Amino acid sequence: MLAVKPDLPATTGPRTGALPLAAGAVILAGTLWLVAGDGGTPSRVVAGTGVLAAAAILAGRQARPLSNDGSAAGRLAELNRELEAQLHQTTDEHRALDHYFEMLMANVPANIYFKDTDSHFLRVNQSMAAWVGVEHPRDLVGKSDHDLFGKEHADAALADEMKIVETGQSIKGLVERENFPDGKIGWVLTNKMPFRDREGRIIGTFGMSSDVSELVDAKHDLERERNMLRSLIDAFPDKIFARDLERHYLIVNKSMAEWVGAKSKEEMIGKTPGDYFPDLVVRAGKAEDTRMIETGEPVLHREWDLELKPGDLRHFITTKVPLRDAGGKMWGIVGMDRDVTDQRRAQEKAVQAERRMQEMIDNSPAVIAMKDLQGRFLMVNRGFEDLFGLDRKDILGFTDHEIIADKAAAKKFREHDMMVAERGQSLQMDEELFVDNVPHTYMSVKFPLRDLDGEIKAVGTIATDITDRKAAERAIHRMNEDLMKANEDLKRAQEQLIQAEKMESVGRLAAGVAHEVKNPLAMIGMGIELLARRVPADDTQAQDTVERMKRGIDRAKKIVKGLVDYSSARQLSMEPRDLAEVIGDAITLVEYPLKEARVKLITDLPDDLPAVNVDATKLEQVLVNLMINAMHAMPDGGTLTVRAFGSTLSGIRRDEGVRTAGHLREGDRVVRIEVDDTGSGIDEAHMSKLFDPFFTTKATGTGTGLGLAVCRKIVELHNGMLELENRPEGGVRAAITLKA
Amino acid sequence: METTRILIIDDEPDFTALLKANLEEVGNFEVREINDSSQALNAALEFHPELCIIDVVMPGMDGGDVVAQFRAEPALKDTAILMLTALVEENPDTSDGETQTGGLPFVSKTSEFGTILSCIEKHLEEHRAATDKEEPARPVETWDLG
Repeated sequence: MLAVKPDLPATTGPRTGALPLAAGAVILAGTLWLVAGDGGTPSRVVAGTGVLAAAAILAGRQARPLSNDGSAAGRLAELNRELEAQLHQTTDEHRALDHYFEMLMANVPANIYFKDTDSHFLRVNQSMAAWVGVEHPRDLVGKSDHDLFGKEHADAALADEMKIVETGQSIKGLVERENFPDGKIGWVLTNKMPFRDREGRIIGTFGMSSDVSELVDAKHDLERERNMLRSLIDAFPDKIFARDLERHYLIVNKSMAEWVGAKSKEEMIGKTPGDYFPDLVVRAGKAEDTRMIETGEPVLHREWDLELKPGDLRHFITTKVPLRDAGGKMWGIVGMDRDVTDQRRAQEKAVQAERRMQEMIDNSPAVIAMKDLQGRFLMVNRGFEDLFGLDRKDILGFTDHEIIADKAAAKKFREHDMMVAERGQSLQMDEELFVDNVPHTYMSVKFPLRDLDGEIKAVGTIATDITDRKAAERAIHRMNEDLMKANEDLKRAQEQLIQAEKMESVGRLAAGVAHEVKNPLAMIGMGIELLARRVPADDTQAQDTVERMKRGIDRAKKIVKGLVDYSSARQLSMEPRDLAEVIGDAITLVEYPLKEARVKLITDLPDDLPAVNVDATKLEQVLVNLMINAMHAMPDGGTLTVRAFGSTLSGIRRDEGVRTAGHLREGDRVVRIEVDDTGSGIDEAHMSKLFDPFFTTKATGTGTGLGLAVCRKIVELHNGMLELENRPEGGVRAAITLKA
Repeated sequence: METTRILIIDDEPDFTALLKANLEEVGNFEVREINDSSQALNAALEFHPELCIIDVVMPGMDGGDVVAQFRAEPALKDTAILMLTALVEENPDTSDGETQTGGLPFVSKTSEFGTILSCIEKHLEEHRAATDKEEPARPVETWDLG
């Protein structure tokens, strides 16, 4: 806004005296300054005032009458001289004034013109001539604006000038946008006034215009800047205000107005915080402002809480700084309140989340660590500290090699980390580490940690001590093996039990069958006896038939006898006997058949065998049976060895089938009787069936299949064992073990 | 020569018939067979046998019961008795295969007829000798075959 008010009077002719000159100079200088100067608004006001005052002086002078007092000739001559002198003086003064005017016209960097009432140029200055592009101001005399400018502009100027001529009203301080003759578009400040003759009649117009493009542009820039600043502070979410020292609001931004619930920003101007805030806040704020005024110290980042709306406690940060004038005097306070509630909550949440995360990590029994790609620890948890007995300050920044005594382990850890970093994939493995010289097994999961760009920047490890689990696994494995073994033992025992049960059943069955079979056998025997007596002696076929039938009956009787032996061998009459003697008796019974079968007999019976509780008759039966069996195993002859010796029992498998209290146990003193033959041995396939009743490998009619079953039954009734095995050197060994 | 009366008590009619036939054919015997053991006492009292051949395993009264009945009857208490049963085998320790158990002679039913016959004759002789000396009757003992 240009404060140009040079109420220029009509400068209509020469003036006398220094005052008018000085006044003219002031007007000129002031106007010049106004036009070309670059001072601030206040200095422009001052300049304008100067111009105004000088013009007033000139106007006053015009109204003053000339001095006019002479009488005689002398006085006339004197008067004449005086007049002449005065004329000279006036002429000089006039000439001087002309000079001033010429200087002014020639040098003022504004366009000055004088026009007649038809708006034809009477006179222009040099600047004007130059501006419209003519060499001399003279060249413009008689021309009009229509000769120089576009019609639009020329018409407008003409209309203005006609109006001035008609009304005598000046047009002052008109700022117009114009197309300059040199083609540029700019702003022009124009003052147009009526041009009057000495009598005050309007004889034309005159004016002065100057290029104020820079000034106007600067003004526009300033306005734009101010608007920008205003929209800027309005756009700010922070609450911004400026107050005078009495706390009246001078400026507030939109956010501030909305915050306190004002209808508009303008409403707040002139109000104080007391109009919007609770007393407590107002008092505290006032005290703070007072302190600021006293000390001049700003308030920076003061945090405070405010509950403007009930239940909505908000958190603010306030900054206030003093406003000072050019002289440094404080005249107000500018401040900014920032609502940081959300940030604060987010921050608290983040802090809490981090604390929780840290707590979780620290309280985890796992060993957790994070290392950068160079293997330096970035983060460890308490479990890690405890494991290595180090504080995290002694761990962070160091590598595995620097903190782990177990160099091999450290090397492996580093290799695994690098593997994870290279592959970019997690890795799970068992890692071994000696802790206090005790090997520990850790189940480790290693995984890459990536930054926002997906670049791997660290490797994380979570390791769980599974030493106990491993031990438990081994224990379970062992237990499983034991269980499997126990299961096998049980199975075997069960088989033995089943076998024993089978034997018992067979025994009971045998007794019943024996009786029932023997009755018809007896009857048939009786019948054959009767019929045999009726067969003629010369009927040999009938005689043979009777004999065959008798043999059949004998065979049946033998089988039945075996069954009965097996089933009736339940009670023994035991007495201490010298086994060598019992064996000797048995041998006596088989010596003859052995010799017949060309079997050589070797005996090894020491004299000092301990006495054994036996039923001698039954044991003899067993021995005879075993020796006859051995003999049958050597149809082409061979050697039969019978020996007996005392020993201590070892390495027996507990036979669950034996249900007697007196069965043999590990470490018992025993006497062992062995009957070895040199026959063909027992087919492995037959081993398990050897003691089954009716099992026989002999041709039908040759054996009853009850011999060994009965033998074993008898030996077991002695709480002993009867075993048959193939000898490595060939043949079979039958061994009886009896408790000594 | 006076015939010797023998009473056979056995539940097997086929067997008793054949034994009777064999005995009467080879010796001077008068044999009566009883297949229902409950009739044994009456038959014996009526028949007055010199020797009774008694089976052990019989339905109703078994051989032991019959012997006890006889021993309790004064008229029969001195009658010779031979237990002929399939329960025992021939005893290898005696020449005639007889087994003495509980004061009674046991002979295997499946023994050859000759063996059985010799046992019968032996006990008849013993009995006749004893009767001549008026030996007191042996006390009844329980027996058990385990």
